[in-house]
Amino acid sequence: MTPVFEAIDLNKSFGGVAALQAASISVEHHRIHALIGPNGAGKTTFFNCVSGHQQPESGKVLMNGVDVTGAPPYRMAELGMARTFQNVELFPAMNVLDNVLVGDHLEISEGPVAAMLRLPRHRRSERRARSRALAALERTGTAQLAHRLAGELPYGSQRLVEIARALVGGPSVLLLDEPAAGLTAGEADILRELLVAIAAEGSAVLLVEHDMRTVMALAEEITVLDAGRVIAVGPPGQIQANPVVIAAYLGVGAEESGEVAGS
Amino acid sequence: MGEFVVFLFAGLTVGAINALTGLGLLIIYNVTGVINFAQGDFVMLGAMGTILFAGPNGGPHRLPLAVAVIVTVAGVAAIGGLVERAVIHPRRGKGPILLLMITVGLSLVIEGVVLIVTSSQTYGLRNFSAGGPLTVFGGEVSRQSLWVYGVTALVLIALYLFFSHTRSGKAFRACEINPLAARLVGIRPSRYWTYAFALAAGVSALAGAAIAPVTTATYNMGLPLALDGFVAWVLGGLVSPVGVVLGGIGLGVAQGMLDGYLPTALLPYSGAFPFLVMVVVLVARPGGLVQLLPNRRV
Amino acid sequence: MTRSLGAPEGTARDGSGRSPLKKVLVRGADVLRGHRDGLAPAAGMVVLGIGVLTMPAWLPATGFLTLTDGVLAGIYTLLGIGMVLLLGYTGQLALTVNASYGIGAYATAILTVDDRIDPWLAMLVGIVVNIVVALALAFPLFRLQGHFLAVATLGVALMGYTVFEAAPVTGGSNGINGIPTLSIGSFHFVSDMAWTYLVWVIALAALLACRNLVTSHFGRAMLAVSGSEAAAESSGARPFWIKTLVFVVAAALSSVAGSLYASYAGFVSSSSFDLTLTLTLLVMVVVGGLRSLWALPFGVLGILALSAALQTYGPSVIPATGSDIPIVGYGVILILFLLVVPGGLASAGRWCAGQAGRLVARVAATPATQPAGGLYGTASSESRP
Repeated sequence: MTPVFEAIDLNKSFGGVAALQAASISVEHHRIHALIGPNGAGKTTFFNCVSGHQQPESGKVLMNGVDVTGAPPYRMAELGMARTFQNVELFPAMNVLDNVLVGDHLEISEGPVAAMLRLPRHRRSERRARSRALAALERTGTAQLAHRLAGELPYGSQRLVEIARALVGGPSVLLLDEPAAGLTAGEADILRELLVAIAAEGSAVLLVEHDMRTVMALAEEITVLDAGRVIAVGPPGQIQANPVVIAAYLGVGAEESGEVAGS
Repeated sequence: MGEFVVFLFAGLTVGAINALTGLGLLIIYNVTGVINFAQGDFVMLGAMGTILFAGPNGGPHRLPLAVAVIVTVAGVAAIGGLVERAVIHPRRGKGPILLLMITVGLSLVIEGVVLIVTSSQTYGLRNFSAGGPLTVFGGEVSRQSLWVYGVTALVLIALYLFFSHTRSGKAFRACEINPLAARLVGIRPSRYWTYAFALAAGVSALAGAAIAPVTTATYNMGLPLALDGFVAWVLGGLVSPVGVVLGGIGLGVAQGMLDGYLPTALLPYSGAFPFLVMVVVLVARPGGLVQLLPNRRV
Repeated sequence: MTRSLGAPEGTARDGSGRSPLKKVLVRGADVLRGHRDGLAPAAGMVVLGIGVLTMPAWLPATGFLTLTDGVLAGIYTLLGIGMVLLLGYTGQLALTVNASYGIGAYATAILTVDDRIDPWLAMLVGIVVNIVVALALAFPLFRLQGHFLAVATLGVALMGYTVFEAAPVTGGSNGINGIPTLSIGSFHFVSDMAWTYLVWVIALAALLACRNLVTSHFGRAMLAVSGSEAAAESSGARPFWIKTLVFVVAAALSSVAGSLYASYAGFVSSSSFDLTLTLTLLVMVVVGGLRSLWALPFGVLGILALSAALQTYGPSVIPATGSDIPIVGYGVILILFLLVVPGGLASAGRWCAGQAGRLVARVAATPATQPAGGLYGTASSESRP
């Protein structure tokens, strides 16, 4: 089975400091894949390089086996990639529903003239987009916030709305940067169920996450990044037992492996 | 040769004015990130203030020129600080475009007030030193132009010494480089917004005083000055004082040569030249022309 | 926007068991408080339409405005729409409006003087030229962000002005005289009243079309670009194309405004296309509300009235200031609005309507009908009057 999304040997440095060194990852349909690593390991840089927000200096990014290295973010979106941001990038001056509708931008194909004249076909696609957006909000448990201003929401709700925005276009690859950060226990439960459901429907989910409980419970595959290098890949059980990973997390010579084992 | 030198000196005078306005823009931008549309109006206030205190050209003298200049520069600096407190401060952090629009309003208000006070009349100022033009390299240069060059050099040196050799100057630079770290060592960046406006207003006022005998003063002289100042500032790469001065002078000299040597048919278009250069530089080389120099840490 | 969300069915039914008067009151309260989105454009159109139809009566009654101001207000509204879309919705301060306005005006002036071609055709030529110029400018200019875009577009605007002043074909500050008026069939637009209605029919149509645009996916993408370009882009909206689209729409509308102005005035000269125009428009747009198309005509008329009043009564209060006196008011108004009412008349009006709605609701003695996720107090991409 060809992976839906692949990054091969990405290199990126900032002012001479290597942020990524030959970092690779391969993500398949129906799978939840986690990217973990200590602070400063290069996880967010990795995300930015595969979503087109930053350009890798070398290496390849493949979507469905096609080379899309260096494609800008909107191109990656057209190819079925959606993402969230570590610091939540909602549009604060728009209401929640409109925020999510932006995520559906590509599904409305009518041109500006059709929009200006409010042609029937444009009304129909707006109506369909609206019900998709409400459904996405429903799935993230934020439907009751649809008409609130996004900038006014508590942090956790903002995260869930951002996930709804990424979800609404039906992406084949969903990149989530620390989706559980700042969520209440209840919200985190919704998130976990949601991610399992999304994967079950066929999308590939790639998440960066610090909360080890979430990672170990959800991920079927884990890639561990340290100082820009991939130091381990494998299912959660193997990763928890991997001495290299434990050393990376706790510093060489440390004995407590409990941190990584997560509890 | 003589003709060339005349065009050169004319260009240098315009260039020095550009540079002084550009320096004001730079001081404010470096500390606050605000593009001050009203910078030219500070120059106008400097010119008008000096004329007010020293007495307009042809009228009775009031204060001695030196005193008038000092009083004016201090007064305009105070106005700069005050307007920052009054209209910029309340909207800090609301985005550069909003702040730019506020400075547009500020420019209109300053012009409006001066319009009411001066009834849109044009005033002149006596030359700083008496005597006819000097002949240099076969071309004539007025004594006031020399004063303008001198003031530009003085301001540049003073700013250099201030920023690199005094405690408060270094605090300024700390604010622009890293506001958070500056706050940690006890510098309050917000206060330096006010200081930056005051300093920039003072520098521009000094420029205004120096150019008043050459250009005369009207309430609406500020906007064209600010526009040329923008060009100087952009050419100089936005952050380097030396770059801004070089940019301003280069622009002024180029403009002087264009005005002198352009064929008559094209002469009416020469006013578009600075803006063409500015747009091209902004789009093609956002770091300014100074980056082309071999040693760009000027 | 579908009505079902803005006004959940329950809202209307709440009043169903009551007297007809109360039903009307409840509905009225909902409209005022902004719970009924779908009615907003209709209400806006009706209010503006009545205001325009009655202009011949109330403009001269003010004592300092004339029907000429009515025509100018329509032209400024057309120009202001572009600024609302660019600055308010897309977050781009592009200051080239005087250039596109000038291109439209000169296209009409040059092509129609001596009856060379039909003025409507000339208007079309102006639009095409403007769109081509806007596209050519968009590629270099929209590489710039934030206030650098403002500085660069200011440079372009001033270059445009220099060309208008210097090019032999425009007549510079002497201008072009004897531009014929517009006509439909055998009807020639001559009187100020006919011109007022013509200009405002076009302006209101443009307002409605652009209001439709900003409530569509394009409008959401515009707001997204002004909010976070990174997020807009990863949602598939291309910031560059969105900005270019808005820039082109703005240029086309300014072109129409310029053509109308040239045909109306019969004379154009470069002084109509200087930076004063851009600054005046900026003040009008801020006063109306940066994100409100419906409030724009109110901002335009407010500033025109202020300017006319200052010119009429100013000289008796502050002697010898001449025709430049309006700038005194512009600066103060601009700063006051930016500091105190950044949402402009639109937000002030919305607040007043909300208060009134609450009052009506209390009079109707119904329990506050706050629908789930009520729209009051939120700013959707919809602009409500």
